[in-house]
Amino acid sequence: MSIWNRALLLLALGTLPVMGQETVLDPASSVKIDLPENSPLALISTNMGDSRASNRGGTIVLDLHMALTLRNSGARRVRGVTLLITAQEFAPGGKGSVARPCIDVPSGEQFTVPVDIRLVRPVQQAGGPLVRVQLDGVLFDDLSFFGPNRLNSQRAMTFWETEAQRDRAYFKHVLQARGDKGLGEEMLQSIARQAERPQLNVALSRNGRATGSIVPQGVAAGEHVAQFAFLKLPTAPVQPVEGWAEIAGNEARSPQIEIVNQSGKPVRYVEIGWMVKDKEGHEYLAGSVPGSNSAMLLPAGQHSRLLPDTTLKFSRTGKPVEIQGMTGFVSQVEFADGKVWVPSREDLKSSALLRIMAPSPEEQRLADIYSKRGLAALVAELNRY
Amino acid sequence: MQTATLQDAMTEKYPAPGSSLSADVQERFVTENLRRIFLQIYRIVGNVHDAQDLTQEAFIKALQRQEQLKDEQKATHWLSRIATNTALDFLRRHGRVAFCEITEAPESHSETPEASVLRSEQRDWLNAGLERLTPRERAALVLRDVEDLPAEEVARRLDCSKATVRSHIANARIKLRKFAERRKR
Amino acid sequence: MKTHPSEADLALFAGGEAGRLSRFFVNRHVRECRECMDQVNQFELLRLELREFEPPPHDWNRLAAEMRANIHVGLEAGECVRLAAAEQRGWSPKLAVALASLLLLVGASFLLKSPAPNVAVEQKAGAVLESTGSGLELRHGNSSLTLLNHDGVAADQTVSAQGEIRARYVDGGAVTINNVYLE
Repeated sequence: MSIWNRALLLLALGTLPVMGQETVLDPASSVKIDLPENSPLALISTNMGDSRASNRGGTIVLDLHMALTLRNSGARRVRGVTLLITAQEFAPGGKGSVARPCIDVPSGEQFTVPVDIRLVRPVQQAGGPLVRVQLDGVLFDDLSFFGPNRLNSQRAMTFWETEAQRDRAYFKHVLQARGDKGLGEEMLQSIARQAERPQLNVALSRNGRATGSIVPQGVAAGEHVAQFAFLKLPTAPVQPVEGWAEIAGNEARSPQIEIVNQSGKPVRYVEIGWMVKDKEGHEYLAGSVPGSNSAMLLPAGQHSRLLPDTTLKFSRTGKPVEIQGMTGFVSQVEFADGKVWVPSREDLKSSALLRIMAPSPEEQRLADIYSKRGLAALVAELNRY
Repeated sequence: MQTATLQDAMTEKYPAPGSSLSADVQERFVTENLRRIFLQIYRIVGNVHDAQDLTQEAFIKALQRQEQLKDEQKATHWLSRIATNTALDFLRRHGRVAFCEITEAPESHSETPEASVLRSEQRDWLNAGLERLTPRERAALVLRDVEDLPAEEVARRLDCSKATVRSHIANARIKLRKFAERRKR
Repeated sequence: MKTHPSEADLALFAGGEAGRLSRFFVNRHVRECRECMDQVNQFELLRLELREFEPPPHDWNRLAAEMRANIHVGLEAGECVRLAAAEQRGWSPKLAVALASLLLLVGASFLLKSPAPNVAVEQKAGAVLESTGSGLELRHGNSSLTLLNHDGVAADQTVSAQGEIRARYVDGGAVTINNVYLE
């Protein structure tokens, strides 16, 4: 480390000696919180908690345990917020985000966003605060949005809120049809499903080998090309047509999927859920693959190809999971007008996806309320909406 | 009580690791510590509903680690430490706590209406003052001044140095005193 | 000009936490300084008021009965989750029996979070992003660094082909979703 970099480090971290020491972060100089001038959220306080910075070789490790208290200073109820947390933007580990979906904050009320994240930043990066916190987006109860949306948080929060409305309506229906006891049973089943959900380890890499042909060319030795099976959800506005991937043991490379827009309006985003089957016939959710970039616009009735530039590697409890089959299903669709589609509860039940997919954040939130505060609290929460 | 009898009693109360606690033993552990833990958590979070939830959570966490409960005294400290951490985590994640009083309270016949109002006012302003502290300042102050624990024990519960605890306590008292002064004006 | 002790020293003196040397000097000072003595008295008074800090009047018997019931159900739910995890590891637990008895219980159950899966995200340069039970780790060669550092276990983790890993945490009826990005 040069004398200049050492001086910069000392400047950034106060009287911190060079190697392996920690210092408590001073909110005034270490963290910059940027809210736009016309932001509907106002910053009330920043609690730095045990946030610290430490020097490890040529990097500064920022251990953030902050809590930001914000107030809804707009007129509409806030249903979600996403913050972008940045230490640096040109290497892995320098950027993260924290989202708080499934909230309901009336005008004038305060709420807290905890930021528990660790970021890294090179010592050589000179000047400015160590961490910058920016508002990426706010979602309101009418699904309108405010914010720069660099992280596509509008889409993510709209999906979460749509799922939340779906699941709240479902549990309210259960309460009306089957009473408190039925709701309690349904909740316990949800909790048991979450506990039993099979988990898989997935390694993801970019490989740049997508060729543009729907049928892969030039398969390497030891690989074979497998055709995708598709789970077609009847209400999905976009349907998969066919797909292929190169499979080698526990690896799936260069998946290529053709989809068709069966709705009457243009689509700008599609997400495909991946399931894999192992030798024993067990099925797992491998991950979620966004099937488009920001420039996608698929007109009604048209076909398109999704060519995610990826390799997926699967393992479980440290052992590779050899792929015997892959199944895809459309899990999210965003239309050009900003409206979204998510599978209905009936879609999830009838296709057995309820057992494999993670529950929505709202379902997990409601289950948490039921677990910790009981049925009465859950009913009160459902009746708030 | 003779040593052999005490040891037998303790073994029966909190069996050795490898054996799970019987339902009776679990029930006794809960009953003997419930009020104390509830009050400890209430004083940190300042809200009865939240204190109820967090008390439940603390006991569940403790009873799931039954190997820690074999020694009665250690079990009590262990439970208190879980309770403090659970309350601190809650405060950190939820920021300022909204205070709401229980609407169904039995009539109190032990004090006059005037005394009851005064006590309620005092509780309200103490709550408001404590709200201005960081979670760790509040916890340090409550453990030291309300639970009357020595500073070393407070440091152990909060998993920090004695110097840090002193700093938390000093800051907390200073903030509370300034709040009290502003209130009088 | 008389030098007064700091406010922090006075606060610690009032509670008996001051170090020996500090105690000596503050004690000597406050005997002659009315202003500092008043501050010490105020701190001591606050300590006394705090000792009276009690919850509002409430029906303790009802509250205690509720808590006992919820603790009981929470432990049963935890047993249900433990058996489910054991089944996934290929044992033969009595999951069906546990689940049946759980469904008969009236009251709250307690959500325990499943262990987070390990997810590794590889970068062309050789760095690997992997999510573990304790957080998201950045690995390069033999070095590793935990990035997503949370007190609780993630309720769910998902990998996106766009090069991000998302971890979801549920606590106290609120959901927080943390993302770490590669690009």
